[in-house]
Amino acid sequence: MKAIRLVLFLMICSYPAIGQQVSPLTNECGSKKCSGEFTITNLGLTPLVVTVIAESFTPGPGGGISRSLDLTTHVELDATSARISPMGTYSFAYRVRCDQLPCQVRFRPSIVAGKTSEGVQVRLVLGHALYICERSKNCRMNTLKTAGVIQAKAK
Amino acid sequence: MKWLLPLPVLLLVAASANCQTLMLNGGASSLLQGSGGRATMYLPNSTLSTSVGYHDGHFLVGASDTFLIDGFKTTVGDAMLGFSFDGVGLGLSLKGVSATRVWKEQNDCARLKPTRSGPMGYLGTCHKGTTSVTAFVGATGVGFFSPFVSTTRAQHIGSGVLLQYSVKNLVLSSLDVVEGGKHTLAQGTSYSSRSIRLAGSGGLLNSQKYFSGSAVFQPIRAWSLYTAHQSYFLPYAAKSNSVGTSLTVGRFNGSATLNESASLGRKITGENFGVGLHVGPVREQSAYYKSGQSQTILVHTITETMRHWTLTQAINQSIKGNSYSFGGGYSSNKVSFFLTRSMQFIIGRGYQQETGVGISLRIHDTGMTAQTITDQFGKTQYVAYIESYVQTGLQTGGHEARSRRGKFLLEGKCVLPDGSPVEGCAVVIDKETVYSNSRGEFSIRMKKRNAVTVSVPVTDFAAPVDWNCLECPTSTAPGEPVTIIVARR
Repeated sequence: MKAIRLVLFLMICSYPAIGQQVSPLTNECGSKKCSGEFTITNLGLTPLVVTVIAESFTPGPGGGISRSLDLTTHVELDATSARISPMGTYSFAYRVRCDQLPCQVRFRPSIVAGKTSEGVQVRLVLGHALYICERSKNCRMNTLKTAGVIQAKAK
Repeated sequence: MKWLLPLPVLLLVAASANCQTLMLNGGASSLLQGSGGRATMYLPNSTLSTSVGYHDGHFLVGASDTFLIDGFKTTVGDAMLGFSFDGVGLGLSLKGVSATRVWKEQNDCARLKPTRSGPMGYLGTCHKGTTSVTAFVGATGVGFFSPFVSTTRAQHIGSGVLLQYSVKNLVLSSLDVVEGGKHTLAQGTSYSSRSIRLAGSGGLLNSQKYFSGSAVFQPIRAWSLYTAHQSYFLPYAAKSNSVGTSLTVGRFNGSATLNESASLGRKITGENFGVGLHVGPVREQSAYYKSGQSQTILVHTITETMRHWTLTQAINQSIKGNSYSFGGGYSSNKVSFFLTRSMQFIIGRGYQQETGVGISLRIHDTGMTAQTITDQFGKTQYVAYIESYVQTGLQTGGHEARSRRGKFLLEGKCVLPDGSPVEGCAVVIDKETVYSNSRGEFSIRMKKRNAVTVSVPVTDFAAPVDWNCLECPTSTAPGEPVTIIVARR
């Protein structure tokens, strides 16, 4: 019975959150300084408020472990929040500097998608992961292999 | 049937366009001496219009695209421009480029104190002055702008610019236009306050020297006094003066005007007095006009308005004879029609009838209008046109925005009295609204290192709770993090 309640709760929570997207999901860089942007799209018919936090993370099974930004990682976001109009998009630009490589940063755009009938506020968190290595080629794949998330091919 | 020929071309062009809403117009008119069709495509970031038609024996093709670029509302193609300020009026038809933009200067709002009225946390307006500019360049000429065609027959090369600057109650205007060998260079100034409006302008208008001035004094809301003067110097001297007053007391209203004009050594004076009464759906207005020594006209008009119906009866009394007219109309969202009939006394022809009939229908997204008027010489003129909106069903993208790049970082934190962070706290920093994240932090980047205003509109918070702002700073500067303390009511 608990499982059914949980499923129903998740369905209620997910209903107003339909149609928000982040792109791209990941980005790779090949130097200590990296800049880029990610775009949030509001496919709904009501305006949305988005807030963004940046955090360091260690890749691992199940999405890895997030933590506060490392002291060796410096992140500059041009904006940490936005109000996105219906069917509109908003691009968040960032600049990241890592004193030690490799390093990984995850941006977590958080969207207040509404509230349930019980008054519980529903928040949808999407993610944009940034992988920074010595070389950008296969940076993400190599990081995930090193973390054991995906298996390296046997030679 | 000539006017039907362009329609397939328009439909072909319109169908290929990637637009969400399409408006098609077609019509013909002997009154406007033309016929044709137009397709208007409403695109996400622009409005595109194409027209073809016949006007005054000429085949005309027109197109225009209106869009926003760097804050300039720009129209490329056929457009009708109108410049009007302080007694100056100039209209022209253009086949070229026109753009207009408004800049609003900001006061140092940080010095202002929060207002006591209005939404909590808002500072109100900080505008210091407003500058607007409208410029155009291209070919000018005869325009055929009707409900069904928008096109210009290019004849000359022209360009011009209108600059306006307003600060407090003062508006300064300057218009410079060169087109078709004629030059307009006019300067105007106006001052408006609650009880006084003064306006004056002078210069060249279509290569004619002129001066215009007017003043309105309204000591109380119901009573106003006004005076105006206009002078033209070339090609011959002409001037006109007028002075008048109007008063409204309850259901009664009255007005009086004295006019005087002089041109080519001939001086004409005119007097006009009018009184009116408004009782329920009935409005009666009587006016007396006297021009020179012999011409006097007394006009009585009664108008009844009942929901969708409007009926009008009028009697014109003059020493040459009386004339009568009546009319009526019905107006609703889907159907409207009118009928007017008047008896005019024409010298040498006696009483002659004038009849006007019009009908408009709207069925779903399509509207049709037809009007005819038969003048006192028995000639019937008509205007007929149709417009239809077509929903193409294409999905279009919405507004695209990106974060503001700047060198200087403004940041702060929104917390509860116990120091725990508040997410979704709305903070207006220099007109830009930012929201706090799950750590209660908010930030924005600025291009200048100036102090800027801060306000906290608690009604805009993301969390649906009644908030109260306990500690809300009104200004901040780069390098000075602000802390906002809010609490639930």
